[in-house]
Amino acid sequence: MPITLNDVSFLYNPGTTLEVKALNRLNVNFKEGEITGIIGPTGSGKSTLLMLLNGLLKPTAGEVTVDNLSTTNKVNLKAIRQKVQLIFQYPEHQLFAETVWEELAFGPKNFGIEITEQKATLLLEQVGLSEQYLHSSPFELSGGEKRRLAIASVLGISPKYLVLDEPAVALDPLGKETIYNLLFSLKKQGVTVIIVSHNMDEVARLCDKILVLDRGNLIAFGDKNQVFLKLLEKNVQGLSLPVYAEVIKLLRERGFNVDPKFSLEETVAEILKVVQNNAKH
Amino acid sequence: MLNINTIGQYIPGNSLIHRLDPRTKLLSLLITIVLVFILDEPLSLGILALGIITLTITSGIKPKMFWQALRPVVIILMLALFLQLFFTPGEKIWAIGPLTITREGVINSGVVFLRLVVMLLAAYLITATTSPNELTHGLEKLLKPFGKFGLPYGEIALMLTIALRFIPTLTAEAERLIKAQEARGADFNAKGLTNKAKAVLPLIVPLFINAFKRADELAVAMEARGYRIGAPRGKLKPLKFNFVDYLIMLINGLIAVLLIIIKLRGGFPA
Repeated sequence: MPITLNDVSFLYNPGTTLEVKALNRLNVNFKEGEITGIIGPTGSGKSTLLMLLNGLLKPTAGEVTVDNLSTTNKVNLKAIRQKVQLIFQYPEHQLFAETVWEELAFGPKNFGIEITEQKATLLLEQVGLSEQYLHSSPFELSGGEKRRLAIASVLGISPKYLVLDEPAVALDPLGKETIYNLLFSLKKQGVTVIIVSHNMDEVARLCDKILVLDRGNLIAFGDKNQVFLKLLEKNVQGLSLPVYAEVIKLLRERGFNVDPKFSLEETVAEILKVVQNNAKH
Repeated sequence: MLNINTIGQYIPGNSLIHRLDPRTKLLSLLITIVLVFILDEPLSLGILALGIITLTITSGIKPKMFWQALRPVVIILMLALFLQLFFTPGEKIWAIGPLTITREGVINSGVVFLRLVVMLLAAYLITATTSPNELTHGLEKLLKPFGKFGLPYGEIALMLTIALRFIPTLTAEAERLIKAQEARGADFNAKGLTNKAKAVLPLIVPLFINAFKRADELAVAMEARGYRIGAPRGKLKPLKFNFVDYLIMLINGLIAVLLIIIKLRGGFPA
């Protein structure tokens, strides 16, 4: 059994006047080997959900289990945190070591894994960084490189589940591309990936499954296309659609008979269908 | 999440105390603190404590909230009480083994306890009912007369505003970093001094780097908006004393004078 949320609710500052309900009775089952995207407007509880997944937060009610280990039980925490690696927004802000190698070795060392120079080079290669950085200071790298280093520093722990909060935000197109490719190759290696993103095109491209949150409630969870179809019909305030879905939506509104698609190729195919139909008449 | 209901946290409200001019509150705090040190009788300090407690209740802050905020200092309070109670020489009234309680000890511990309670509650009350902005504006206004003697009151106020403004930001940042490093398996509860020092390194280094980056950005943003040290500046909400402010200052002054006179004349009549 991978990561399961069983009737999970979460309150901040319960019992005080500052009480905030962040999540409301969530039931979710994250499948292994898939990329799941969590979307929702600001304040919908996405970040809270992420921190519940590796036991940084404990549910106020309900239970979160990782491979049948409950996060509520303190004894399981170390094992759970090794399995589920959480990468926060702007992970480049958490770098601290004197050299890139030490940065890469920090996390694994805490879990009793030794990182040799060879292994460190491999990790750098995985995120597309040159091995000549190995002995330089992490603070000499550019913003995008720092981000990739921060991600690599977690990969050394060989997590089974990788949870990322906005992994590609504020990167240049090339930097984004590197991150996407990394996530795809991790998926191929059997890592279960969960990301939070505000960028719908990114979600449409990367994810197999999508989970929609709105003010702490689960609005939809399922296959990417089904969820986007649902969002096409029902507008959630603060959520946009992938740009291809918007194109299809406009075409349909203008009376063209096209099917909803959510990727570049499929959308072009649909448009060509219309064009060729017009040419025939 | 870090408990955000700590000492110094502003709790918005619309009570009489919330609406007072910050200068009134600051001056009242000053009077209270001076009084606390002048008075040394349990009875007059008790009256003061009762007054502050009444004020705290009328401010609309729930007792649960201020208990939560003050809980961390209870240990210090207890320690002071304990030391005074057992280690004051004088007339013996009770003895358990090597520990003796004296009459003077009981009085002293009562005085220390009441002094601390009055000061803590007064300071808590003022920060809980005054927004950081109001507080610094009030302070700036109060310090302005000293500007003639070279006191850089504007800069002091600015530093205070920035410091107060960034406390929650830095707390949130530290909180985030702790979580991030914990996710990487860092253990912040390490045993032993060397290990403890090593454990905070992954926290301190990024915290400082980010703070300096923030300071840089803030300086640029302020310059971009034309900030100059010492330039004349307007206020969005100019401070104004109302009738209530004068009244409260008058009452405070009267209470202070009365209590001091009673002390000078040899205490409350038995």
